[in-house]
Amino acid sequence: MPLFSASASGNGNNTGGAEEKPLNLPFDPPPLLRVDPVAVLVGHEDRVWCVSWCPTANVLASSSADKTVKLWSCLHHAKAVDEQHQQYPQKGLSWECIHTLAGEHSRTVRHISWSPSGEYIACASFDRTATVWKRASDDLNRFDFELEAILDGHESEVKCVAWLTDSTLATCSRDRTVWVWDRVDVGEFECAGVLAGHAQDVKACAWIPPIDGGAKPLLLSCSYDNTVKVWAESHRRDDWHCFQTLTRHDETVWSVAVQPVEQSIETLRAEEEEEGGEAQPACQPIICCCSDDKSVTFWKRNAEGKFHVIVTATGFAERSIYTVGWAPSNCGAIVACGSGDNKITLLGLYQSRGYNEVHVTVLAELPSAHEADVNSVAFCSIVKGALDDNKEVVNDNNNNSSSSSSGLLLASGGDDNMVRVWRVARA
Amino acid sequence: MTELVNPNPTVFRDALQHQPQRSAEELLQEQDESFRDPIDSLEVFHHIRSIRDPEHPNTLEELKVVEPELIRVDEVKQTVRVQFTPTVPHCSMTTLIGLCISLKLQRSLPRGTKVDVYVTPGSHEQEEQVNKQLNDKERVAAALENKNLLNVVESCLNEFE
Repeated sequence: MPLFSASASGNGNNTGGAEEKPLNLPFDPPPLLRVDPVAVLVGHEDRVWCVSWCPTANVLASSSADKTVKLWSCLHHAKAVDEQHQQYPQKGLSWECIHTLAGEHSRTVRHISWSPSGEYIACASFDRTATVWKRASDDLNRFDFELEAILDGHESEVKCVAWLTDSTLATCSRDRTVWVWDRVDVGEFECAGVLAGHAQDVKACAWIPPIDGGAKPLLLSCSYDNTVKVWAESHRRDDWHCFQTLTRHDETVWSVAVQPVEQSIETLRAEEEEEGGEAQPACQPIICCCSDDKSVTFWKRNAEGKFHVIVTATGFAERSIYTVGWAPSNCGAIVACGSGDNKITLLGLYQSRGYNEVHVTVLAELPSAHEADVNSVAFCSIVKGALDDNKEVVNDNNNNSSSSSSGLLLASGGDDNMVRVWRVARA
Repeated sequence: MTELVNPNPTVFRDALQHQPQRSAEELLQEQDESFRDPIDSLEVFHHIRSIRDPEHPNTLEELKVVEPELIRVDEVKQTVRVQFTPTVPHCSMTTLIGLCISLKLQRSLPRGTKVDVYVTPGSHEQEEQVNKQLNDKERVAAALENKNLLNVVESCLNEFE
């Protein structure tokens, strides 16, 4: 049953020639999902604040109040399965810490972000700096990182960091500002903009990459002042201004996430049916954010580029919702939420045929995902490899057929010092 | 020397003579180890009653900043909600006192217990702002990484000799 629905084009006022871009949503309610535990990653000595997957390999990074970042990977044991391993649910496989980034931050590492190529990791710390780490080896299978740069400028704790490209990233802080940084040389970054306007602590930031060839990216930030701000760069380079302020939440907005958009789900189906057709216009990404007010809101842009709410999800969390993360686009419009009631919830979005309405529904719930608050959730963007792993494991046990999303991995981190890995499949 | 935020607090000495008592049945249950010992408001009160006021040589109990009637425990949800009453409406120590209560309970109660600390409604001029700060766990965590502030908090948590 949909939790709530709202007209997607309530503000449909198409002055100007631009058309509103379509949403990448299925027309049918998504199937219910099952979430199975895969691994518990023990090693951090304090709460885990953030988990983040490498975009190009099945490597997971986690950051903690213990001032470190750990990299985890699933290793195949080359030797024959011995008696001990037979007790593990994942025979022959185990997740292990393969590298630790330590010694550089003197306080909590609050957030981590991989650059699009997987070659860099940026860390945001309560020590008022962000750091950039570069892979030390050209070997694609080695994940050793060394410090490349320290981004210094914020006046208080840095809460979040986000890459746009391998050369551009944003940081935000309790000092109420968002900074944009550009790489000007190896190991050297320059401040390209200080974005001021939030009345309070800025909790997170995220980029909306350009959709069209000529468009520019937008930057989102969410804050303790209960708002989300949309920042745009003017025609003059490095001149950032607040394009819009989204006011909907009654409490702190903790996280903002941009839907990955590659190609429309329905377009893919249409192409399969018609075996080729005219090119469809690019879809626009949906934006979602979560709040202390226990709700998740979803936003899209109208023809004029202004954001408005298309649907709100409430009633599934009993305490603050700290984190939201989108599943890869080929898995459908699925969002994972982590909340202070120790719970992970998976939401699914779909649209009505012809009525321009968007609906949201709960696809899965893990009431006790962690033994304390869930601070971060993230889907692995590589489904193919994980699917292969899953087939191997499944074939060892029985011959269950795998559905298209059975290889989807989800990671979470919590106040119980644990990083957990889950497999998401159809129920 | 800076001027005291509240130079003349009211001290309730009688508090020491009228400590809350558990019923005989409750005392018997405590002896029975097979009986699961739920958290209740008296236990929570016991943990925080002896926290020292940052400015005065008195406990929060003596100043009636904390009282057992202002504590709510939801055993099923493992949630504890504490209201505390600053001694004066403009008290700038209010956030600090709230931090002390929060940290003390974090250390004393079972892991995973949710602790919500609020100013008693109507008792402080900046009630909303203080409540929002005290219940932002990220800001609380960051504040407690500040060594100077943590030292002040620790000194308030230490018992009088």
